[in-house]
Amino acid sequence: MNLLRPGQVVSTERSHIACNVVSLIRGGGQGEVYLATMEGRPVAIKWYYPDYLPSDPNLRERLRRAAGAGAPGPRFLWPLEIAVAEGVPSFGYVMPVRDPHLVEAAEVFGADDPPSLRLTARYGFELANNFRHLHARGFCYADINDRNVFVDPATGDVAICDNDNVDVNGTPSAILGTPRFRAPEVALGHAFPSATSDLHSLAVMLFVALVRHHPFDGAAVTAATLDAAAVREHFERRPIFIFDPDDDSNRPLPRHVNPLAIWPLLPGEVRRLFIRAFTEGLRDPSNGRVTEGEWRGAMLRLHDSFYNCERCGAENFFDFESSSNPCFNCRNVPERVLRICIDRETVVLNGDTTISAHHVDAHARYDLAQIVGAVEPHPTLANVWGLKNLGRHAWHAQRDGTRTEIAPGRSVRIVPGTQIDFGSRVGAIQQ
Amino acid sequence: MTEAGTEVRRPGGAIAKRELPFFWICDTSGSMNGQNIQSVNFAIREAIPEMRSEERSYPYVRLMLRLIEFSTGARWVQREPVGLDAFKWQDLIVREGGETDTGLALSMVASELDVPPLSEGHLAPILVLISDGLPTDLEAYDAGLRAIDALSAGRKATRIAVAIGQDASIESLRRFATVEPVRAEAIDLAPIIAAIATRSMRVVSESKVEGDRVLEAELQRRQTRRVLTWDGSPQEGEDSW
Repeated sequence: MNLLRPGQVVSTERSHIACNVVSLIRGGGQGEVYLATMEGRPVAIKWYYPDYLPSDPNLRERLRRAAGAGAPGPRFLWPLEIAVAEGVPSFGYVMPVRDPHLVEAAEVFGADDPPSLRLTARYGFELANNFRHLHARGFCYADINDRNVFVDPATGDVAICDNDNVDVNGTPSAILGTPRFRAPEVALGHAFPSATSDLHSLAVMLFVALVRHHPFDGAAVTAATLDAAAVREHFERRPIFIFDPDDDSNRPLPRHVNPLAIWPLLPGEVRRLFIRAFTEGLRDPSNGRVTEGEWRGAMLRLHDSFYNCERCGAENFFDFESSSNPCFNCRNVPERVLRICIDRETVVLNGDTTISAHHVDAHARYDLAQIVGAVEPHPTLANVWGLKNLGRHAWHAQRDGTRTEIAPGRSVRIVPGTQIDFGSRVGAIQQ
Repeated sequence: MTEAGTEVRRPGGAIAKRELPFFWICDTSGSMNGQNIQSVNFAIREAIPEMRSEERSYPYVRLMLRLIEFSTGARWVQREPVGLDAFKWQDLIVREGGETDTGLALSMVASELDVPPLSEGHLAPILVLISDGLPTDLEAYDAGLRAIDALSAGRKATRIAVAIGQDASIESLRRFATVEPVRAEAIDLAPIIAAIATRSMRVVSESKVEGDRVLEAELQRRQTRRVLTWDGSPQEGEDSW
């Protein structure tokens, strides 16, 4: 059913700016999304089905609040303003257009050929970081799931869609979340969605992307027909983590190859966070859950610990807590892995590793796209690698008592024992 | 220093999937001849790529299709369940003068709703019945419904009925369906079939009541696209609201 038609003009409610409808992008459960132009710029307009409105009486007020507060960050396709049209039932809202090369998270991480571990870690970081921004502003997303988040399949960067569910944390909500991502207290009817129930959904999202399996899908899920009631029971109301150290009743089945293969490879820190999120975090929503900040730090470290095996090229995470880190594929044990240690952070140096602003500047925002340094091969010498200064300020490298300025655009040779003064932080190349 | 190789291996493999049994149950009786059957062929053919695209949003779901047709008697066109990637639609052909043995078809569907042939831990099945008439085998129709209801997978299934044209009996379809049957003219069929095919995957992951309600609303919306008509009889209520 087409709520709007191409060429139709709708108007923003407060600022009375005309938007020209161009075409239907897609229909959903609540309404339809259209491409439109507003003052010559492309925008998206979501228009609600008239029969959806009675089930969500706070919608208009919620959208006004969100639009008034403004987006928590550039990755949110945030409501800009409510849109209305004379003679057309219902209403809609204007938002930025989603970049067409972004792909639904479910599709990216559910593909038979999964994305790289580094991309997955970047995605994990972006999720945690962006929902932290949202929660820090006092909002609750209410419906975190892998169809509301879109991913850049080249980088792991995200766009967060469907922000019309967002409300001030603590406001009773008509949105009760998505199956398999819903927190127990919401599924049991004890609580409305909140910033803490968002944390549960976030942990499920991270587990599904990294381990490529649902954290509660194990031997205890025995229903012959897994209908929605059984899903709710096993995945939401009374979930048991498949790696709960104190309850082995729901371990992965032999056919669950991903959790069996991937879980043991995750660094200890990440495994401990998942265990906490899916044991204490299930029982104690207020204080037991892993916070966005904890996830953000863990995902950054995971991102920085990635290495490609020197022998077979396979992707691995380097666990700094572990004495040896054999390649999962060829069992080769890397012995002289080069890394740069900057304060408490350690970045494993691969042939394509980049250093971001937050690594070298204690005051920089966490933004992995803000690259200030990159590993590059020497232009002429074989087997010589350098760290190239891609920032705006000179670095100073020191080795064997010699201090050298590394101006922007120049590279410093990667060799153990080199110290690099980035300005506000100092890094040491080690092996 | 480590460097990326050309062929990058990653731990793990494809995501463990659950079977979602999906049954097309199609009327090929004599009255379906002409536009009706051709619109069914068109609608399902067009829905298949949309279903493939929708399936990618549900990584843990593997939709497995079966297809049965009924006229005088019933016949599996696709009894061995087949995934969407391998499914090839072959146009259904009407049997001239054929009766409407809906009941027999339902009994045959019921025989496929046990474990096995369904795999252990399958998702609640989706049964889509498309018909333009009254079942001619009324006793068998009762028996077919009983056979489906006797099985757990049958009781938990989302059962959708599409009535083509004005002769189809909504009453009898209602006994089969778990959501209000949709009535459609042949020309309206494609968007309705598309909605059923794509929304139904969402239904299996939502609570039965919620999910069925969302699907029902979606189908009703599709249905009301048709031009409004008035038969001249007086209507209740105020003239303005």
